[in-house]
Amino acid sequence: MMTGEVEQRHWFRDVAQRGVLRLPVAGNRRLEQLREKANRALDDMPAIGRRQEDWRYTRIDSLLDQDFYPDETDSDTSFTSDTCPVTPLTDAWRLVFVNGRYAPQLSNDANRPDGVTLVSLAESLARDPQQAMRWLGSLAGQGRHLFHALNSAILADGLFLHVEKGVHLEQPVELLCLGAARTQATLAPLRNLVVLEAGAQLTLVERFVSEASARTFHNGLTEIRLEAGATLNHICFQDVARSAWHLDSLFVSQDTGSQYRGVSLMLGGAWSRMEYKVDFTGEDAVCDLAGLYAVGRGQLSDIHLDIDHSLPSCRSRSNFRGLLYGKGRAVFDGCIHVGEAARQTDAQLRNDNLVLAPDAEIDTKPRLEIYADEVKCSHGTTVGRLDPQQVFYLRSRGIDEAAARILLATGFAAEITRRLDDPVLCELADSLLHDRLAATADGAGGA
Amino acid sequence: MMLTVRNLHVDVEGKPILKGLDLEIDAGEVHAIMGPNGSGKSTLSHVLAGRDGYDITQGEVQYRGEDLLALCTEERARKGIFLALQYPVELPGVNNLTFLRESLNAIRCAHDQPELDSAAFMRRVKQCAQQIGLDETLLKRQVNVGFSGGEKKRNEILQMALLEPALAILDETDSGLDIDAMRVIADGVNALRSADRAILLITHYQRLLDYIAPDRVHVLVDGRIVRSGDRELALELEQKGYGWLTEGAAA
Repeated sequence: MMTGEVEQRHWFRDVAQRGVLRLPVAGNRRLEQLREKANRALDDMPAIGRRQEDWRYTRIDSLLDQDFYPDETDSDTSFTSDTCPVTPLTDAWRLVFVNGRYAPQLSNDANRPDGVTLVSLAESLARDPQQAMRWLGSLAGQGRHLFHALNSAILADGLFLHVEKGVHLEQPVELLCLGAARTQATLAPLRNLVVLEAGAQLTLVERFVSEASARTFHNGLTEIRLEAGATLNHICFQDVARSAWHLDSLFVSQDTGSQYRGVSLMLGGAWSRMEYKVDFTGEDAVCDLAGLYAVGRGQLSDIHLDIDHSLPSCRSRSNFRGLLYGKGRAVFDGCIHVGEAARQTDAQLRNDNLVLAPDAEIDTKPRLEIYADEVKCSHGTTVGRLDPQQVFYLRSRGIDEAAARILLATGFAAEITRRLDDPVLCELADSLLHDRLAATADGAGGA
Repeated sequence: MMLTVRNLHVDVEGKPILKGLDLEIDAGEVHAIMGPNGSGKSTLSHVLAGRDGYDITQGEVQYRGEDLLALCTEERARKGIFLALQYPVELPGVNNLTFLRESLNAIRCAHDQPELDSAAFMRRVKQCAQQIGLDETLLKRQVNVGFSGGEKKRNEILQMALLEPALAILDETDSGLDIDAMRVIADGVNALRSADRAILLITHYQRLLDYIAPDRVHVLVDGRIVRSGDRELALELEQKGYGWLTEGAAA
């Protein structure tokens, strides 16, 4: 049973209320207005329910059963690499947040080149109340559901990244979000703003990890604005604890000739949801999305794409793969809308799933809504099991069955993981997948 | 005796395919099994390698004094049985080098040998690749994905050269190859011939036997060996076809 509407609204209001109490005084009229508006949306927006397409296969009961509290512990000293080892990226500027709160001493933003603003959002708002406010909320608006409203209602901090016209950054920017275990279930809100001016280029790597027993709910919302000819490589690598909840919503706006290349990995979490909302504000823009979700026992992974081709000659690619290796569930809901004016649209949507366990479940729903002529659009979905011929081939070379299954499953995932384009992350993805699958093969996950 | 097959009966989906097959191969020998399509050649090779889907209703197979049929597929491989597939399987996303290293280490491990380190492994693989004329760029590709027919067969022979099996079974490895490719593969097989190793060639045509001289040739018709002989038998088959033996079997 989905929690009743009244209880649900109470839950959102309570969580927001606890967050509001901890907010620093904004002293920023526009920010206050934004929060107030979101607070009203918490009352006005419809409750989340299975009658809505976006939530048809997604239950959030286990989340709503928890009372989440904002973290009060000092973010810089509350975390050690002993409880949560993180392999650092080489040569990256790094902003670190612990349970949604900026940890300046763990961060590294030294020697930034000219033309780049890389700072915590709260710091930016304190320093120059108007800079970030030019864009904040401009892409997400009111948001699409109560979690978005909750994010805006207590909007306080996150990453603010602004790259001036024509500036190319070779070195990646890393946003590291750490989930720390507290005695209470902890809300980790995060609000990011990424603006690339015309022709700017950058790689942004978001990583989400947590301590093994962390009961955190990451409610992240990122607005990404790519101006004409800008290029963003955006990696999201999520491997939080099985006891954690993770929601990441991306609102992307692409102007003429811009390129957004997204690679997302969803490996952890009790519930892990990613939402992409992509809009084109100019022609000839390219949006290339790839993702991998891997779920085992007790996990739900949940991907939603909403790509809106409203202008001519843009291209979108969506290639998502699912690996279901234990009694887990996954939802893929991909929608591409091609409006009347969007002639010469080139859009492809793929979702392939490999089911390794008999009692796993995948609900996949690719949708193409085409209202324009002269378009090139396609979509395809597969749900399959390992091919016995492939397993036999490996076994006939001396590899035992469990190892053969792992090799084939990681091979299936490699179509996505190789796009990570970073040796540290590629190796990390491979070894994490290998460990999860090996644990299942031993009987722990019920494959 | 390396391999002894006695009165082997095998059904596939309830249909008898092998109907009392007898075969003996000793170490150091190369045997060829020839026969028309549908006679059970591939079934025999798959049963020896331990593939699922074959119902053994009668008979026994001894491999170096052990009950082969009691072993699972990977145990057979670790004990030295190698099957070069007629249709090598593509493994999307699985790197060829990873595949080769996992195989080699699984087999070394079973013999209480240490795993090879990366450098030693690479030397071995490159040496084998050179020997059988396999383009080294194929090592870094996904296993068999996008390989030509000839490249797939070479990749099988590469695995054989690397894993150094005691009993190598080559299932129609010559099919679909031009003369040059066949010569290269034959060279690879001949290089592997030794006193403690046996090779079983399964082929439809005798032309492979021009390059790999067998010690014994067997003709498989309708699930049984109907005639065995030396190399001359293969040449006789080429001249006369299988008809005269097929009729004999039916009578």
